[in-house]
Amino acid sequence: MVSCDKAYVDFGSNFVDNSATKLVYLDSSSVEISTIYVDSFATTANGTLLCGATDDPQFGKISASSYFSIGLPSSKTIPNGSVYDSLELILPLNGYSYGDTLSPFHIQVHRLNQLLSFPSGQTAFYNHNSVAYDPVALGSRDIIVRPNASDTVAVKLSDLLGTDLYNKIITNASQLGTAELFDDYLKGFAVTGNGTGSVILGFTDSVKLRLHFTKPGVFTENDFIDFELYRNAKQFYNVSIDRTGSALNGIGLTNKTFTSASTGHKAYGQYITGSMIKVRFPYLRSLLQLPGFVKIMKAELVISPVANSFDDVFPLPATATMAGYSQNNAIGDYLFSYNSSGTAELQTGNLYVDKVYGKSTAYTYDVTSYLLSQIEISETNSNGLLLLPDSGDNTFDRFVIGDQQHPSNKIQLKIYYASFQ
Amino acid sequence: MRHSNKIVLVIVCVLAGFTCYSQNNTSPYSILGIGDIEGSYNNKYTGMGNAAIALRESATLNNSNAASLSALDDKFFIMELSLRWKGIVYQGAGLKAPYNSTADIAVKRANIGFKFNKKWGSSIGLQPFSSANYSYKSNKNIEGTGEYLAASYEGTGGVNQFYWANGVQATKHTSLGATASFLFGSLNQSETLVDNTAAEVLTTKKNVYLRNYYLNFSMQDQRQLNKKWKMLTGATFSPRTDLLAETTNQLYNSSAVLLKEDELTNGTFSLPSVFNAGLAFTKNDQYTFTINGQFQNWDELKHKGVDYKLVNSNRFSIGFQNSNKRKNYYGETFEHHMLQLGLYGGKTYLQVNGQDLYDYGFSVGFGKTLPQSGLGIYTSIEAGQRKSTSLNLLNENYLNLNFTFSYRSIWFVKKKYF
Repeated sequence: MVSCDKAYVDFGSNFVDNSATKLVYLDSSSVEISTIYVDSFATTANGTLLCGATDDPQFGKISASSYFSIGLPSSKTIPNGSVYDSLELILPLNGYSYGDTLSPFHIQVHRLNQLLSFPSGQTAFYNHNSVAYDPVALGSRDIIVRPNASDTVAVKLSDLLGTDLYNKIITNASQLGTAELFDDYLKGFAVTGNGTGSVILGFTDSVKLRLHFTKPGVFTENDFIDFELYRNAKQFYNVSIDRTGSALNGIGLTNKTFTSASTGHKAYGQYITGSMIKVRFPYLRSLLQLPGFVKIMKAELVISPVANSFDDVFPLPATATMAGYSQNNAIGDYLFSYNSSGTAELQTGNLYVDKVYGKSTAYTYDVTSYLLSQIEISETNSNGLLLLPDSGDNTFDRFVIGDQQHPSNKIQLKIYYASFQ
Repeated sequence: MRHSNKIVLVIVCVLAGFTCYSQNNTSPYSILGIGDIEGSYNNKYTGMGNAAIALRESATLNNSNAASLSALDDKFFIMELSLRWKGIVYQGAGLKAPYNSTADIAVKRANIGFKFNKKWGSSIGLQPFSSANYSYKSNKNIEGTGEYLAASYEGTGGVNQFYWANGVQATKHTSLGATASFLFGSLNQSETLVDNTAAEVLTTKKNVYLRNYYLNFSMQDQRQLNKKWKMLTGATFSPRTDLLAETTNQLYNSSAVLLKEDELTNGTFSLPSVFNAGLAFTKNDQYTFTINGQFQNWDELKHKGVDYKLVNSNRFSIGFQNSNKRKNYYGETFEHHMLQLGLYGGKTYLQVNGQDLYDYGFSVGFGKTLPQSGLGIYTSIEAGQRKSTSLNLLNENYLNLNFTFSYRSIWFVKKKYF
């Protein structure tokens, strides 16, 4: 008698009289940002080599070097009568670049003085580690590289090393008996920018040491033997930065946090060089004092990169993530959102670029879930969110953002809450 | 009272109880005002486009005009029960099958009529006055912004009408009637807001309890024009009435825990003055031609909501009936069966986004009486549309199947001793 089938129709916004529950917008909630120091992070065995140097006007002079060892080739037979030609190191580009790709890329190859082994007390190499190498370069090159068009960068190495290696193959020297003996003989290589140049490039770890020779015959024939990466687990890169003259000069283990007020109402984040941006909501619980406040229904954090802090050479990353931060300096859970089918997706900022005026350029994050969890914490805490590169640790993604007092690029917290009155 | 009479009486009373709780048509527009105010009389004359104001018969309860009760047969009582199945197909942007149709069935009327004496007929009954039954998704505005948050709304309830109608033969031609009703019921609206995490919801339950007395005054006049033709006129008037409205709001979370509630607030919802007038001609008591007009003076109430307001409404209807009469065993004339046709149309009291909504359609009716048992069944179909001239509004194509069951028997006979 009372059965019925209700049609769930979409009525638009018509007829919805304001009920006792209202939705209220608030954009005056306080947000604090600061730059915090990243001590170190492991760079071992991540499949990436970084090499080069550049001068970032916001962050300082940055250099990157990579270290790796080379193993025995699968076949090391050279026909009798062959003649040594050359030795080169071939580095496959991974398409990543940081800095001015229109200027020459400088690379130097050095032979390590010691085997790659983790420093005492470490189980990995970190971004600040290095291994001693012969200061005399085996080879170097200055080349204009198009990271997205070129495949490899090849550097011709010393013929002294080349002929020595060639002769050891010809004579079937004991150093080529096992991989360990060969590693002990060759040690490995360091590729560096030597602090010069204006661009840092990224490479895969599929590096090759190629020994070229000429086979005998009526018609001579060129041939080569490839020596490939050995002990991937020990390959790593080093990143160093000289912050002299930059806003972050002085940040370090003894001075881990720079408030935005101390850096011109800006905060700086470049994880790979040791800085990241922390965003806090110190007075979030004051929402509970608002008349009729029930709960946060939606919250958005709009992060505005400071105009002129980025350009074509040092562009804004297209994506950036945010993760929780707690008192122990650890990166916590990343911010996720749910798509229309209910699947969780990592939030990457949904960057909007204001190409006309530049004022509205911003990353936007849904922080509803995060704020709902934080508003329940009554104890004093230093929790916050970290702005981090989306593409992991192997990039020089960088952010300079304004705080709420910045004259033109203000960070904004938009809170939509339910009020019952 | 005969045994069969008792059974029928019990059935009618039980079904009448359902009237208070049954849902009416599932219409999104029932969110407006006090829900969809019933526009049909749901009686024998529904197949005539509800053009019943002027009609009066001895064996039928015409709940559209209390003055008609004076025409009931003396010493008989009549019980009637009406059911209606309603199906609606919606038209509007973004509506796709199967989410564009709905249907339900509900008891629409239960009443009993009898004569106190030769001139005074009376009837009591229960019927829905209005009903709300909707379920839809929408967007709720965030105050001070042009932004919205998804919301869904469900509504149930309605206002019931318990009435006592009386009709008196005032003169040879004229009867006067009056109906005193008590309107009561509640409108229950549930607003559900989902936060951006899609994990938590807030549900605001708004309950509006409505009640007050409601009056209707009526008259009918019947004149024999000549040997074949008879003219009937009728009119009714309901004055403006303020329903007392007590509103409570409660807020619940996802776990159905009561978070907050406000204090009961008192208000009113006004019903407008309503005028009905009808004219009918019958030939040889077989063919009936009738026309009705109705006017509801909503403008005087100045009722306005978000993107809608309630405006003066009117309705016109015409009907035809072919009543086939025969004589029973005792030589008494009774209606063996009847056929009806009707057309109706008019402007409803809803004006949405500045667009008037119109309601128009046609009806067909058929009825049959079983004189031996005193039972009669009247069926009718109403097919119509409630729509605006704008394609931006939700339009309804509806089909009503009405069933009125009637039971007539001797009410009171004085014993004669010889």
